[in-house]
Amino acid sequence: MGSEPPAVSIFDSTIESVDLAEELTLEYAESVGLEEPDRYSIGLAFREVFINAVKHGNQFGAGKKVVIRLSNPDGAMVVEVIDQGPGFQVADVPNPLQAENLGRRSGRGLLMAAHLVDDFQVEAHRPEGTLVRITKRLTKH
Amino acid sequence: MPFQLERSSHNSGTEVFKLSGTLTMGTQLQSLEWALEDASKQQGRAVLLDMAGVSYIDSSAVGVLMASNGLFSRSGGQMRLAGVTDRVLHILKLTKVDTILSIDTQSASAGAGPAA
Repeated sequence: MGSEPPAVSIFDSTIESVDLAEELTLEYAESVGLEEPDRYSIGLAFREVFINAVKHGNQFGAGKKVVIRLSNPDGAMVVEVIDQGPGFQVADVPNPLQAENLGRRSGRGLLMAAHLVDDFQVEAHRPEGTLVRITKRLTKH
Repeated sequence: MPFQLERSSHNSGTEVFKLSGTLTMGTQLQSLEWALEDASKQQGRAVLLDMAGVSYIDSSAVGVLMASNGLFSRSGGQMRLAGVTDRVLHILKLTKVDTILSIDTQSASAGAGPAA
């Protein structure tokens, strides 16, 4: 385990794609031995990252795609979500925990995702878009 | 488990929304938002969301709860959450909306009476 190439899937950049993409991610999580409640955590974190890619990355652009890469390096499950948007800086996202933002309708997805997994990375993806990488360590419960 | 919504009225005058399944972005979440928006139009309306059957929520659901709570506040009504499960409570605390929403981890039957 750990040396196999990532499992790559490409989805239409639509909200409707998220359920199928999440299902695929959860099947993969089970196959690599990720137990509950960690499967719940990575599943929900994935939903948030995928929806962020559709809404804020690809900005609902017609014909855009979202790529997911699932891998199982030693002792962990890694999910990468790549959009085709203009890119964004995490520092530019308003902090949803600040008092003036608590009443806002949106803007909590990445915060939630980051807290549900063991590692959360955002980086520019070449030649376009943003890559969000979430990692959950395989722990016996 | 797909999201489901059942509405009923309590003797106290509180309307109970019994929610079950997963509360995540999609048409069913939108139907809940519309139902809450409709209920909030009645001045002073009290609504209790029975969340005992909700397995988890996403950030879109948190957004709907916050938007709906604002509608009830502005119309002089009240929206309360009851029977909140550990997973849902974790998300509400993580996003700090537990400091704004009226939340009870007790069952809805215990909380459908008038607010203290």
